[in-house]
Formats: sequence, C-alpha cells, structure tokens
Amino acid sequence: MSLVEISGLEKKFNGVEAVSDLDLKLEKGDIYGFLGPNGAGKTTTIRMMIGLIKPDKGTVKIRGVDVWKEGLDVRKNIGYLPERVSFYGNLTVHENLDFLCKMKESSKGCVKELLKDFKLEVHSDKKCRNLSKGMNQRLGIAQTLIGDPDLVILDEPTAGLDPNIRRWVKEKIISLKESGKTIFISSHVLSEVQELCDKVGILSDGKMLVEDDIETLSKKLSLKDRLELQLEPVDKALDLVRGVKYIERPRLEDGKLVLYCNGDMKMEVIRKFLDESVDITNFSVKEPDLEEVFVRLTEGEEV
Amino acid sequence: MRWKKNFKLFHSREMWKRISYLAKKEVMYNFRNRWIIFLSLLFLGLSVLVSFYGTSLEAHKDWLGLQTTILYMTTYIEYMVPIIGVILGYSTIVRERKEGSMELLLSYPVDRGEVLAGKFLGLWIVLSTAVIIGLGAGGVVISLMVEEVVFAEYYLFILSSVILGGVFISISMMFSVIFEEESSAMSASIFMLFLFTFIWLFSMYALAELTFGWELLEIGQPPQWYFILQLFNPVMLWYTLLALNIVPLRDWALEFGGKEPEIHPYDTWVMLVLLVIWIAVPLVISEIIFNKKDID
Repeated sequence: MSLVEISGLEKKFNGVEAVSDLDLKLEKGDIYGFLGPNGAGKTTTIRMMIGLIKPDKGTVKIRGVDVWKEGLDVRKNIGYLPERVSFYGNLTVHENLDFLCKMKESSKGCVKELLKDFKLEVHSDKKCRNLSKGMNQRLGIAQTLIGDPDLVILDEPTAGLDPNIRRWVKEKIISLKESGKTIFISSHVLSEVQELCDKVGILSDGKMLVEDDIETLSKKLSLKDRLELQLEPVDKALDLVRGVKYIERPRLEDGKLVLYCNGDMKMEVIRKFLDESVDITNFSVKEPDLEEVFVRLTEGEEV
Repeated sequence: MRWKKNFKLFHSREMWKRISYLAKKEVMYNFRNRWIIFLSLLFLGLSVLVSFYGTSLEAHKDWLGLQTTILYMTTYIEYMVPIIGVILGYSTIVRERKEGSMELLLSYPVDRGEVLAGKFLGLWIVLSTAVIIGLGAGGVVISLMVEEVVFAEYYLFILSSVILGGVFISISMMFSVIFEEESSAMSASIFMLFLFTFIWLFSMYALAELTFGWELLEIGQPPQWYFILQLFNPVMLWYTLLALNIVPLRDWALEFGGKEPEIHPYDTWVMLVLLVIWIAVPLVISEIIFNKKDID
C-alpha cells in the first residue's frame, strides 16, 4: 500500500476547475516535487491532502485511510507547512509551539527540543507578530516536525525568503530526507526541486501533465542544452542566431545571450560567432534541467 | 454515521483535552489584549456608580441596596453584555481564516467542532471572568456600605448576565463561521444585537397594537402567544428570569404590567433552560456549517 494515494481528485470553485482528475502516488521515503505555475492547483491539491478542502470527486488516502472522512487520525502523522504560515501573533514563539505540541499530544520536552534544533531559543519569548519572515518560516518548518510525523508536506517552503534563509531551508529539507521522512514539496523554484527531489509531478490548469524522475523526463522530451554566452557586440550576436533552425529561444538575460540547442550542435553555435567576428568573453553550458521540462510541458508539448 | 462518530468523540478524553487547550489559548490571547482587566474595571465602576448615584434622572446621592442596584443595572447590562459578547465572538473564526492560523490549526489532529467548542469556552471564560470579578467586587463594595444585603439575588444577577453573554458569543460566532469577510460577520452581529435590544421591543409593541390592542398590554393581559413570542428573544428571556426572582424588578414589572401570573407564566428553570438552548443551537448550526466549509 502506498503512503499517499490520490485517485480521481477533482475540485471546482464557482464552476472553475481547480483540480481535475488527479492521480498521484507517494511511497514511503519519497521526496516528491510538486511543480506548476501559479494557479495550477498545487495548493488546492495539498489542502485536499490535509482535509482542509472537500474534494468534489475522488479520494485522498493516507495509509489507506480517507483523509476527508477520518482526517483526525491521519493528521497525527502529517507535518504541514502552509504557503503562508501564520501563528498567533499575540503569543510568543514558545507559547505557539507549546500549544501546537499539546494539540499533537507530543512529549513535554518537545518545545525545548524544537527551539534548540531550529536555533530559535533566543527568539523564544518574542511575540510571533514581531518575527521576521525568515524567522516565521523557520518556526513554520519547526512545527512540521511536532509529533515526529512520517509525512511532511511543504507548500512553497522558500517563497519570498532571502538567499541565506533559503539555503538554510534547503539544508533542513535535506536533513529531513536523510532522517527517512517522506517529503512532498510544492514549488515553482525549479532548481531547488531538482536538487532535492527524486520524483516530480508537473501540474498545469489542475491537470497532472507528467510524473516521473527528472532524468527520464529529460530523455522523453529530448531536451536541449542551455548555453549562456558573454559576447561583444551582444546585439549583433542575437541578430545572428535569430531564425537559425537548430537554435531555440535565443534571448538576452542580464547582458548575456541565452539560447537552447542540441548537445551536438554546441560547437556549431560557437563557430558561427567566431566566423562573424563576435568576441566570446565567457560561456557556460547547462545540461537539460527542470526549467526546460517545465517550460516545454506548460507550453503544451506532449510527452 | 456522523452522529455515531460524534457520540464516540464526545466520550473521548483526548477530545476534552484538546478543547481545554484551545480554550486556554483563547483566554491567554484575550488576557494579553487586557480585555479581562478592562472589562472587570468597567463592570466594577458601573455597579459602584449605579449604586451610589442611582439613575442620572434622580438627584440621588446615597448608597442603594443590592436589589435596587440590580434594578438600575439591568438597563446597562442588557446592552453591555451582548455588545461585549458580539465583540468577542464575531471575528474569532473569520479573522483566523483570513490570517491563516486556522489553516495551520486544522492541519493538526483536531476536529472542527472541537475548535468551535474550545473557542466558545475560552471566550465565555473571558467574559465571565470580567463579569464575575467586576460585578462581584462591586457587590462587595456595595454590601459594605448598605445594611440591606440579599446576596442570592445578586448571585443570580451575575450568573444570568454570564449566560446572556454566552448567548451573544454563540450567535456572533455563528456569523463568524457563516461569513467569509470580517465586515460581513460584524454587520450581521450588530444587526442581531439591534434586533434583540431595540427592534424587537418596538416590533412587539406594534404587533400588540395591530392584533389584540394596546389596552390589554397595558393591564398586563395580552394573549398567551404574545408571551411565547417573547421567548424567542434571549434578552427578554434574561429579563423575565430576573423579574421572576428579584423583588424590585418584579415590582417594577408589575407596576407596568398588571397581574403577576400574566407577566410571569414560566418559572426560573424554564428560562434558564431556554437561555442554554439559545447558546447550544447557534453552536450546533456553526458546527454543521464549519464542517462543510473549505478552508482556503
């Protein structure tokens, strides 16, 4: 039996389809990246997984138990970080954690342990309304571990955070992965999902476009390498590659020329610039990544 | 079967524990806002001032007994306690939903009915503490100043005020569950407050005039259905409960209402039970609606 089994899930809001005929399976120990552009239906799906939203059709089963019908027992073993995590602003960090630990019937030392593990001890007596976004997120992730759940669901865990906190969150997720937890991450920060997840599912307009590991997806889509070149003159270089058959999506990004081509055509591109007396001051090649998969799929390409 | 599940839950120790944690959190939260201190001082000041000055219409400057103080204070309490109940209750669910803390809370192993019960209990404790401390301290001060002291009636006055507060917390919480916007929940709660404190009274007078005539009302002999209709207003229930038990209020009611049996056709327990029903019904409706709501 899969740890999470979603079958035929559907939800409409005011007649508009938010999630449509969604199937998904999550095995114990999986790190699953749930991707999709804003408004794709990721948060709605997650809320149905927690039992916050009632599906119009279909079921979400965790360890074989229907979440909507028997949510109370199921939620004992789930840690959840909402996209916009909010605590009781008038209570301190300690009081908020203490309350949440009690709700999960966790041991008395639970608060102390979490404060220590997440380096929140110095903020323990601070009221939550005075916490910075980063600290609030840190507390948010801390509370997901109350009761040592098997399944941790993180909805956009790094959204809106500065790079330092983002790195800290990533490290924390890696340590959760190492401790054997099953993690479900919803995100549109593709590079992070690629780094953390074994398997991804890509959602668009409420429908699951594709679900696989990243490597297999790259093969299936015959993805292109991404070339980033620093050229002089860059405008002339851009004009040169426009309309060339084997070059895709050429564009300027931060003064660099970015384009996509097959791996065996990279040298051809370089030669083209050299032949036309365009100076190449620097260049880098990136193997096909999730961004590529994501763009292809959300643009409507069939797998 | 949902009722079977609820029945099983009702007997669960864990359920009561969770409700108590939720109630404690609510008390702590409101205590931080200094609500309890502010309200206690308000009730204390009010009881002492009313006892010493009576009503502003009288040039009275001497301590009144507890009974007479109750008579004058009903005018203030019948507005104040419902207003405080509404202030505490109208935003309790809708605000948490908007802020996002409800989403986090409901991702924990807690039933939505437990959340409502815990919140109601917490808010009721906040209001009750303020009323009991405020009016209680006022009662002690007054009893030290006057000879005529009948504590039993004053206790009933405090108890009934606490129950009246519970009714308005419960009803405004129901609006907090029904509406998606805080402003809508507030508007509905304020309308309900006006309905039971002002509109009702004038509507009942108008109804009397249009049906059996004003004269029968003046001599305290309206038809039975008129009394029954009054029971649909919790403020009238509270007032009748007090009139049944507190002598000066009873005399005052008799003065305006005529014969005793027509004014008080029901006994104290019926009034108390009806007030408790007024608390329970909105809570049950809230639970039914809240269980169907998507938390988004």
